[in-house]
Amino acid sequence: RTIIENISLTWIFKGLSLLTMETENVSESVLKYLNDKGYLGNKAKDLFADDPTLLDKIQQAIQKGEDITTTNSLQFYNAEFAPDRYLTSYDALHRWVEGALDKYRFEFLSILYPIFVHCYLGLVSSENSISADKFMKLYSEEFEERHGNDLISLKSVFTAEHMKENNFVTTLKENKFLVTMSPYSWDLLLYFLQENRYMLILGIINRYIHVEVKENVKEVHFQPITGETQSTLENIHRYPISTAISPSMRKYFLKINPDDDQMEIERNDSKVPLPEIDDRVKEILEDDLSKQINLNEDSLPSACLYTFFNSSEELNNINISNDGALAAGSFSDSSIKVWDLRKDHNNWKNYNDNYIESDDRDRQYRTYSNEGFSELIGHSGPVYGLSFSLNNRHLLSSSQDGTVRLWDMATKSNVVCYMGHNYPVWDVQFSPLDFYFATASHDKTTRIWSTNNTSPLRILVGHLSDVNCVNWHPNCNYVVSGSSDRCARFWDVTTGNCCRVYSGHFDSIRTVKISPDGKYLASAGDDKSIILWDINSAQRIATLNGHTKSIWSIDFSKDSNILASGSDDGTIRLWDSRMLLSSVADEDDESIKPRGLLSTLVTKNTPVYTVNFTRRNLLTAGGTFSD
Amino acid sequence: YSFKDPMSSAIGGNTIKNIAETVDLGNIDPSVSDLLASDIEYRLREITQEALKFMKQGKRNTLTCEDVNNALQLSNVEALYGYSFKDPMSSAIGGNTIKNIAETVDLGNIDPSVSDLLASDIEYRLREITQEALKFMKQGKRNTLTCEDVNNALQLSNVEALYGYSFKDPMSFARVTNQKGVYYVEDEVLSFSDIIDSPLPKCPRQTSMQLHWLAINGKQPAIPQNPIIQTPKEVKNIVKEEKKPTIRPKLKHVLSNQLQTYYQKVTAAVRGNNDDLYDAALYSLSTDQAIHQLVPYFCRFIAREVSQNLRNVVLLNRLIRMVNGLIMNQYVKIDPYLHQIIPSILTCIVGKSLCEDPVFDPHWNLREEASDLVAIICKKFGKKYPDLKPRITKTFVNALLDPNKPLTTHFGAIKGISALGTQTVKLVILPNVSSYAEFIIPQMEHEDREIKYCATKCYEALLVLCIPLSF
Repeated sequence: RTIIENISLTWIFKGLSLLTMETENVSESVLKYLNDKGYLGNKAKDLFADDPTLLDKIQQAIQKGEDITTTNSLQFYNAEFAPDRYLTSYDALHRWVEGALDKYRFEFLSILYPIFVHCYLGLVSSENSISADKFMKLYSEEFEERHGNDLISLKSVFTAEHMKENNFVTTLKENKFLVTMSPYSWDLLLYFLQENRYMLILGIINRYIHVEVKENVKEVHFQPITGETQSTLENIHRYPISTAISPSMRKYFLKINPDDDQMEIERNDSKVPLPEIDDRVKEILEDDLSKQINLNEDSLPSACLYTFFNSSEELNNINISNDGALAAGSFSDSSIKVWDLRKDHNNWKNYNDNYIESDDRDRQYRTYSNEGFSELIGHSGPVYGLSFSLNNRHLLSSSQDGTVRLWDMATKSNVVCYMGHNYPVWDVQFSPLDFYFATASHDKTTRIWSTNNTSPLRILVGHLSDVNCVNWHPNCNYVVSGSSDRCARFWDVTTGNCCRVYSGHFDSIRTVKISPDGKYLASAGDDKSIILWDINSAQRIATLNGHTKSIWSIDFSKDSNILASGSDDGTIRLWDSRMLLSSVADEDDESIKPRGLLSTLVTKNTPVYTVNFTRRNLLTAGGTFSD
Repeated sequence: YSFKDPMSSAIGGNTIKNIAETVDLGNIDPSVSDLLASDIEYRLREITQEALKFMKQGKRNTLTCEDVNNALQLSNVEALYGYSFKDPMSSAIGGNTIKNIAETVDLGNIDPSVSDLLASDIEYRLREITQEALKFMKQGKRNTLTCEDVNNALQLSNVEALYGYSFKDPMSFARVTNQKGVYYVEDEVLSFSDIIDSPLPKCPRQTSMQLHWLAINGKQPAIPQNPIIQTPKEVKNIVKEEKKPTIRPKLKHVLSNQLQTYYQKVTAAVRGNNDDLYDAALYSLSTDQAIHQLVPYFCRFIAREVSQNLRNVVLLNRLIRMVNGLIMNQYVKIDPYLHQIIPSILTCIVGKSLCEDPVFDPHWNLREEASDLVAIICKKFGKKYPDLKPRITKTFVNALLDPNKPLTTHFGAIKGISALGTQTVKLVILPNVSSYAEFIIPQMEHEDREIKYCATKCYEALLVLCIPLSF
């Protein structure tokens, strides 16, 4: 008895309520529990024989304490004594889902993955690494396609020690998955779990999954973990944002369509102080705007491909200036090479023929410096992000060494070095009117800088993994960032707050782009699909499937009618964004082409690194020929 | 069970005792444990025996966990999950490796549990670094992981990079003798003078850039820089055009040279005597994807050849097989040409004389083969064209019930109907079987040897047809 009293009674009760549910025999389960815990041997029997009231007391306590927290804490106890229960109950659930009615099965499938993940973690945390491994092998196959990379990270964790320090696992443990279900299927699931007493799984659902019960669930989209709870997310989404573009900027960047109603009151003159556009640039912008071609499904753009040769291993990124005159490549050997197409073309091509060299090596040396490009050297690690300024006079580059450098294009020399990130900087992007720029880094932050200051103006924190890409809103007040945590975030530059979270990709986001009219967002990445979002409501408008490999780059045409995407599969696809965005699309269109796809431009073995519409709506694309 | 050495059981009583202790049954009599041990052994043998049956049925020589689970289910025992793997734990690094490494730094005795723990930790670190390295790979938009990526990842976790691994040619690892799974990097002895004398390696080629028009107003121009491809859109257009027979483009159907040559080769093979060539042609007809454009030509060829060679049974046979090949080809849509082909096939079934000598030439086989083909067509396209089967049946019945038609035609009609299935037979033959028998039986005694033979054939076919109905 003293032993029993010494044990925290509540713990026993919590542990017992499950067992009693199963066996309906309290005394047996009490004994079993105590045995398993190693507190008593055969003595326990005598103890209960001596004092029958003790049993009643326990029973009453159990009945009183039956609330949700009890079931939650139960799971710890279960994991200790029965690793097989994870296998059997998951197996049962799995079979049940397989056999569920077609209409509801897709909803159940969406909840299966979170349960799978937490069953695995449960096994690992109870030091049952062998069972965990078996579990993973048995059931991981069906998630391989969509969650392949997550599974790789999960598989690497097989001791409780590693769980504590693994970033991915702590994210999983500290946050809830969000799953949408219709009321009927939610009831079905609960009934199934309770009827068969799969308390383990019920516990996982209570603890780690937020189920949103909604009528009329048509499609279920996977919701990656964003790091916020559902309620804070809703709060974030209530934050007012204005996607309007001030008339002073519209004048230079948008052809004002007479039909375009000025629905948004232009009260928000840019909150971010903007630099003056100098007169020469103004002239160029106006000229370009007047020569802009209207694009739609009948008049597709012309495309110009910049193919890089002998560089498939070394080249990390390509950037083509907005007028197509300058092309820059960033290389693993820390260098940047810039080609200037404004030079006389013939001269450029035959430059090295003028040299007659004495021996082979000398010629190599001469051609090295005269191949038509200029080399920018300054970084001490592979260079990733590149961005040309509006007037083509400057180039920004970001590198593995954690620095961002500003280069002057006239002198081809380094002007400023911005240090702030301690980890590799994956992407850098000039704001639409220059002066400001944004960086995306391995350190999970996005930072806003101004070119005249070597320390960042804002540090935008919130992503749970590397930030891979960043893009400015045309009105300069917001930036959007895409991350390996499968989410894109919309940030207010003035306050530094995150105001929208777009979650729905299955894999890392590699590129994000805001349409020139400022209302829509497109994101794409390793999961081979492009998602179009409504910026303000954070709702998905369309999912565009068709690419067969990772998508590296997307861009809207300047009139927002066409979306171009460039992928590792060596194709550029053109999508009818106007049709998709006005959402009058015919869902039952049974054409062999994916929905919204206008055209596929195929290259010769050239993965497309970047696509970009010039201000006159010419599509420029860059890729490296891989043999 | 009171002997000292009762039985040589595979499972010792001690095992049972140990198991009992784990469930807190401390004191059990040795005789009890022996009894249990032998019982368990019996059960095990029983299950193994059943499992072996499953193995044999699966025509395998190794017993798998699946077999055992199947056997367990036979005796209403729940299957055991989670055992169906080759190795219990997929650790890339074994405890042995750690032990060997420990020995090299003079730590002779380390506990197995320690080495296992270290092994699993090392594996975790490896995976962690690989994950980071993969990020660098992805950012470099590459599909192969390089040493540079790994070094960059190491730098992230403040580990000194590993130098000297970034050669293009792979390192050669040599196995340590007598040690499983331990390797070392082989250090070749190189002659210094050789290195000095050898010519300098060629400079890598310089990066260059080229521009070209990938598309002009959405259309890809046919220039050498662009690949030659048939976009799905164009393919679709071709299919569409063929679907609408009413719209006849005035333009001639343009066939590529390859297709023309292919057509000539195939038709020559069908007409010729070379069986190998013919077999190859048949195989190609039934599997090739690209022959769709030629289908109308083939259909015309078949119709023409059949009408011109009504007495050449060998060629007719070859043509029938050709049709069969085209129908089997899943990439060919033959429906629009069925109306062209079916009459030719029917000719091969109910034709008056398909050879020189009705008794000896193998035209009977041809009729049967063609009947099977008709049945296949009915099965495949019957749903799409509901009147197909009735029309064919009608042709057969008309041929059969006309006493003026030759007996060879009757034989073909009977075979044709029988190929269409029991239901058809019941429907059209049964009402007429007695009247037809009255017609045919006298003919079997005819003095003309030819008529007598044909009548017997018909009668036999009719019998074969009616046998399944009698059950």
